[in-house]
Amino acid sequence: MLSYAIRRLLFLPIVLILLALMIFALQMMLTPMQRLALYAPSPDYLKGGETFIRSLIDLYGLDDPFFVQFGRWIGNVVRGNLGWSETARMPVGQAIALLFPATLELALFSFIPVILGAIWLGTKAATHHNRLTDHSVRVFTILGWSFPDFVFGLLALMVFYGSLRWFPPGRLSPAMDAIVRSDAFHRYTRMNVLDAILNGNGRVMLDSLRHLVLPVITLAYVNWASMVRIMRSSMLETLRQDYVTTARAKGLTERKVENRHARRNALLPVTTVSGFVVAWMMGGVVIIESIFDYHGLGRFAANAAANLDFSAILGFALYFAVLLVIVNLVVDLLYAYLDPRVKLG
Amino acid sequence: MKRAVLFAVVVLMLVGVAGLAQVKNPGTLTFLWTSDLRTMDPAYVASTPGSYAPFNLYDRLLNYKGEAIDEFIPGISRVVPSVENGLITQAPDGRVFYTFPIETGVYCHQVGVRASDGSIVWKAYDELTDAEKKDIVPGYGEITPSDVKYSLLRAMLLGFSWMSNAITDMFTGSQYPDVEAMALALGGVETMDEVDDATEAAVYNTLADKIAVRDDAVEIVLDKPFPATLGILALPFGASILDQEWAVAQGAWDGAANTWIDYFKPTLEENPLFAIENGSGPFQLEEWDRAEKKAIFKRFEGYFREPASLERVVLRSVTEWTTRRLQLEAGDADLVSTPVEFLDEMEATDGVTVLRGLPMVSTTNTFFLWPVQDSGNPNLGSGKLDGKGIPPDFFSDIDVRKGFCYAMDYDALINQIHLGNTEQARGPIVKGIMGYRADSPVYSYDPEKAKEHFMKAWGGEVWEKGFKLTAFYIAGITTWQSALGILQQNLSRINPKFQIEIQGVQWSAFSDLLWGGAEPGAALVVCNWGPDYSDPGGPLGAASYYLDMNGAVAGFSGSGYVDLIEDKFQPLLDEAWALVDPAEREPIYAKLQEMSYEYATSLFMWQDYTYLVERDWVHGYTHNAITYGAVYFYPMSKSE
Amino acid sequence: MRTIRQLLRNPLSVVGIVLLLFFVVIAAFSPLLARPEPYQLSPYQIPRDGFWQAPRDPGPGHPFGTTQGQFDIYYGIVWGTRTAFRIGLGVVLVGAFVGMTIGAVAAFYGGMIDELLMRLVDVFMSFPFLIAAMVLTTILGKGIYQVMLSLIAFGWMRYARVLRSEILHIKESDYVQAARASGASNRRIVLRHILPNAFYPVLVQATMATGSMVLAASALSFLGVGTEPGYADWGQLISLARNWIMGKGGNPFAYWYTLVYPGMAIFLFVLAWNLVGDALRDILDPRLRGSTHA
Repeated sequence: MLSYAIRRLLFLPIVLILLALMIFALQMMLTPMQRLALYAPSPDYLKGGETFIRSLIDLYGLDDPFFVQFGRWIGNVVRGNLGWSETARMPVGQAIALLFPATLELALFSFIPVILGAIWLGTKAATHHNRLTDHSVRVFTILGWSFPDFVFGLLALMVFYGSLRWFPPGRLSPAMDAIVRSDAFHRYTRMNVLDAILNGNGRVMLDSLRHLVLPVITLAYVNWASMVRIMRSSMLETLRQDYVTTARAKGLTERKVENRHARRNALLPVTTVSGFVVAWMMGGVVIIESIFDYHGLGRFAANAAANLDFSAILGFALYFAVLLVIVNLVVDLLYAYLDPRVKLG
Repeated sequence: MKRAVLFAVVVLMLVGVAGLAQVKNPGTLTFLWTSDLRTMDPAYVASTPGSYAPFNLYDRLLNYKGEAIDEFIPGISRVVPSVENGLITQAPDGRVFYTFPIETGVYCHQVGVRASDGSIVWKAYDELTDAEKKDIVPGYGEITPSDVKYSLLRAMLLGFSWMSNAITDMFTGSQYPDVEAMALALGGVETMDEVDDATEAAVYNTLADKIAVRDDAVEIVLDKPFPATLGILALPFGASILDQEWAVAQGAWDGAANTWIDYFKPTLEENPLFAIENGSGPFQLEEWDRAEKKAIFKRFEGYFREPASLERVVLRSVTEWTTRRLQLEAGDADLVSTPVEFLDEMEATDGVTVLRGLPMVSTTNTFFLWPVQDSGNPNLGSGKLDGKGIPPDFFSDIDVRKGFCYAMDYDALINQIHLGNTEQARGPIVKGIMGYRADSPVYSYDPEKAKEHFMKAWGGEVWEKGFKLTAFYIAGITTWQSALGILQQNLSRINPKFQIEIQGVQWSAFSDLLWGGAEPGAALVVCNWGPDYSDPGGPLGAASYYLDMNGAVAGFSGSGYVDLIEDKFQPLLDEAWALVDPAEREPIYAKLQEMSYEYATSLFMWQDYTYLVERDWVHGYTHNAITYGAVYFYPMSKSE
Repeated sequence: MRTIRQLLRNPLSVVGIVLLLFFVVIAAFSPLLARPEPYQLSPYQIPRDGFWQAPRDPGPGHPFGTTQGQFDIYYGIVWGTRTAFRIGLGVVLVGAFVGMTIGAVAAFYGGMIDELLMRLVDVFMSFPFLIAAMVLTTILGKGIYQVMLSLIAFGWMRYARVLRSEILHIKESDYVQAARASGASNRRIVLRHILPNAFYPVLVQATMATGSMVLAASALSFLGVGTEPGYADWGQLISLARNWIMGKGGNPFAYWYTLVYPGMAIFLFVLAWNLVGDALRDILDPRLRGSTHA
C-alpha cells in the first residue's frame, strides 16, 4: 500500500504542471485589455486615456509572449513565490495560508453531520424500502437538493439570527474577535475552536461554535440528498446479495446483517462520493460563505475568478490539485481496505 | 440514536442561548458595504471606495464645506485662500499665486522620537507620555510646509492614479495630463525607459518650481488661472498630506529630483506605502485585515483639532444584502449599503433611518458609439442596414440618435426603476455645477417624434429595413439592464423591426469593448461618468468629460463622436476654460448643455443618487456630492 | 416490453413517469402555453411587464406573479421546462458518455494508462470551474451553449471515477471469476457481465444530475457568466428571489411565490428523475430481479 501511495504522489508534479499550463493557456486567450481589468477594476482607473492604458499594460507585462509569462511564473513558484493577488491584496501564498484554516474548520465540523447523517438516513431508507420512512427521507433530501443553498442559508439566518438571535453570521462576535487578535491570545492554527481550546479560553470556544452552527447545518442539508441516495441504493443492492441472504438464513439478526455485512460493502460508492464532497468543501463554498459572512477560500477563489486574477487562480488551483490528489488517494486506499478483493494499481 | 440527536439539539440550544447576553459597543460604528479598500497610499487611490482610507486617515490643505461642492473650510491650511483675503493674487503676467498658511502642531499618528542611542524611532503619538513628547524630533511625524510640497510632488510623480494626475494637469496648466507625457515630451523619447537623468530632473524642476516653501506657508504658482485649483486640493485623494520623513523612512521616494523615476508607477506590492499609513487625520489605522476584508480605524486622540466622537470605526465587506440587513436590524451594524428597492422597507423598519436623495455629481447614460470596429464584429450583426444588423457608423446619423432619445421612457426610469429617488439628467452638467439650468431642454418619451426621426434616418432605410444591434451593460447592475429593457420594448413598439439585444458582460469584457481597440467594439452601452470637482471645465470637469475631445467619453466613443465634438463643442469649451469670470463662463456652459441636447450626443438618463441606511442612534453624517458619498467619520457619533 | 410493464407496476415509478411526461408536455407546448411578446428576440427571454424592482403578487396577467424586475414567473416556468431538459439532458448525456469511456478504458487497461487517465481526471477536477466558465464567456460570449460546454467539460470526471471503481470492484466478484473460469472471452465478460452492472451507480448519479444541472447553470448566471438575467431558467428565477426571502414588514411570506413556484418546478423535476432512475435501476439490475414486487 505504501508503494502505491508513493507512486501516486509521484504523479503530482505532472498534474500540477498540466493544470498550470491549461490555466495559462486560458489566460492567453484573453486580450491584454481584458486582462488589465484586474488592475483597473472600475472606470475610475481608466480615465487616463490610451497612453495611460498602454503604460499599464507594459507595467504588468500583459503583452509579453506566452512562454515568457509562463516561464516567469514557474520560476517564481519553484522559489516558493506564488505571486501577488490583486484581489486579495496580498501575496497568493499568504492569502491561501490565512484563509485555509477557516475553510478547514468549516469542513471538519461539517464532515461528520454530512457523512454520518447520510449513512444513517440512507440505511434507514434502504431498510424500510418503499415504506413511509423511505419516502419521507427521499422527499426530505430531494427538497434540500432542489433549492440553491442560499435559500436554506438565508432562511436559517432569518429564523435563528433575525428572530431568535441565537446564531449570528461571521466567525466571531466583535468582543471575542478583539480577544483573539490581542497579544494575549496565541493563534496556533487560526482555527478558532481549536485555538480556543489550546488557549484554555471557553468563551471564545463557545462563541466560535455558535457561529459555526448555521453554516454547518446548511452545508449538511444541501449535501445530504446526493449522499443519501448513493447510500440508499447501494445499501439496497447489498441487502439483496447472496451472502446477505445466507447470513439471514444462518439466523443472524437483521441488525447484525445490516451492520456487519451489508453496510461495509454498501459504503464503497459512498466512499467515492464523500471524497468529492470533502474536496468540494475544502475548495471553499462560496455561497455559504457569502451568506454567513464567513471568509474562506470559496470567496477568495470566486473573487479571483470574477476578476480574472490569474496569480490567485493559479495558486488556488495548485492548492486544490494537491488537496484533490491526496483526497483521491485516501479514498482509493479506503476503498481497498473496505473491499479486500480490490487490488490496488 | 434518538438520544444522540436529542443531546445534540440541547447542546445547540445551550450554545445559542449562551450568546444571548451580548453587549454592543456604543463607541464603535460598524459599516457594512460591498466594496473593498485597495490601498492606504493616497497617491495611488482613484475610486470612491478607495477614498475612505485617505479621507479619514489623512488631512488635506482644505476640506469641502458641508454639502457645498465649491466652498471650503480650512484643513491643514489655516485659512482658505481667496481673492478677498489676499491669499490668491494674480500677477500682471497672468500667473496666479495661492498662499496656504500652514497650521502648526499638526502631529501624525506616529512620530519620530529620539531614542537614547541617538537614533530615531517611530512611535504611536497617542501612547507617548508628556515627557516622551519632548523627545519628538521636529518634523518627524509633524506636518510642515515641506511635507505639503513633498506630498503633492510625490502624488504627481507616482503618476498612477487619475486623481493624482489631475494635480499634474493643474500644475502644468493642462499642458500635460501626467508626468509620463511630460517626460516623454521634454525628453523627446517614446518610452519611460529612455528618459535620461537630465529629463528626469527637468520634469521634477518644472513641477517643484511651482511650489514654494516658506516658513509657515506654502505658495503655489500657476502659469494661468485654473478654476478648479482649490477643488482638487480638497479632494481625498492624491492631495492628502503625508509626512515626508516617515515616508522616506518606509522606503518611499526621498524627494530628490533624480530619483523619482525609480518610484514611478509602482505595482501594489512594490509600493512601500501600500498597507501602512501615517496620516494626521482624525482616525488611525488599527487593523487592515485583507483576508477578512475588514478595516478598523481607531480615534486619534492627538488630532490637531477636536478628537472625533467615535472611538472606533469598523468597515466590513459583506456581499449578501439580507445578511447586511439582518445585522442592521439586530443592531450589530450601524450603517449598511442598501439596494434602492429596499429603501421604503428599511424606512418602515423600527430603529432605522434612511437618508435619501443624496446627490452625486455623476450621471448614468446610454452612450452612442461610432464608428464601431467592423472587422468580424458579431455585435454589428450583418454589418449592414438590412434588418439583421447595423452599419458601423449607425449612430452618426443624428436622426437615429434623436429617435433613440425619444424612445426612452424617462418616467419609467425615474419612477419604476429608481422609485422616484432620482432625477432625469439634463445633460452632463448636474444640479449644483455651473451651467446647470433647471429649464434646459430635455427629451421625453414621445413615440410619435421618435417615429418621425426614424423615418428620416439614413434616407428612410432605417424605417424600412429595421435594425438589430446588441447593447451592453456591466453584468450585475440591474438598473442598467432595466434601462435597456425599456428601450428594447419601446423601440419594438415603434417598429417591430427595431431589435435590440441586451447583454450584461463582466467588467473585463466591458472595458475591452470600450478601450480595447482603436475603435469601440459595440455601438450602444450604458455607463456612468461624473466629474471629480465642481467646475464644469478642465480635465475632470463635467462638461469636459463628455464634450471635450480629450475627455473620458470621447476616449471610448469612437472617432465619429470625436469629430462631432471637435467640430461643434471644442471651441466653446476652450473659450470657457480660458475665461475667469463666472458670469462669462456660465452662459457658455449652459449653451454646451443645451447643445448636448440638440445634437443628442448621448442618451442622458438619470443623475446618480446615493442613500444611507443607518440606525437611529447614528448622527452626524454630512453628504457631499463631490466625494460621491464617501463617508467622513469625523463628525459622526452614536447616541440614543 | 417487459421492462415497461414492470415500470408501470411500481407505483413510485408511475409517479415519476407521469411527472416527467407532464414536463415533456409543457416543454412541447410552451409556445402555446406562454406566448412570447413581439419585442423579444428569443422566446427564452422572459417578458417584463414594467420595471419596478419589487416582485408583484399573482394576479391578472401574471398567474404566478412576477420576480424582481417584473419578469413573469409563469412564463419563466413554462419555457424554463425546455431549458431544464436542454441543459439537463444535454450536459448529462454528453458528460456521462465521455466520463464512462474514460473510466472504462482506465479500469480495463489498468497500469500506466489507468494512472495517466486518472491523473487527467485529477487535473480537470482541480481546475477552477468558475474560471474556465468566465474566460470562456469572455471569449465566446454568453449563452446557453457556452454554459453547457462549461458544465460538460467539468462534469464528466465524476462519472469516470464512479464507473472505474465499480468496474474494479466487479472485476473481482464471484460471477466474473466464474465466467472467466468457464472460458468466456474478455469481450464477452466486459459486455455481458461487467458493464451492465457497473453502469448502475453511474445511472444513479446521472439521474440525480439531470435534475440539478439547472441549478449549476444558474450559479453561473448569478456570477455574471452564463445566460443573461431574465433568461427562462428555473434556477435564475430562484436567484432573482434572493433578496426577497425576508418578506416585507415582518411578514416573511410576502413574496412566497418568487421562491415556491420555481422551487417546486425544480423539486418535481429532480424528483421525477430520481424516481424514474431508481425504478429503472430496480428493473435492470440483475441482482434485484425478482424482488420488484415488494
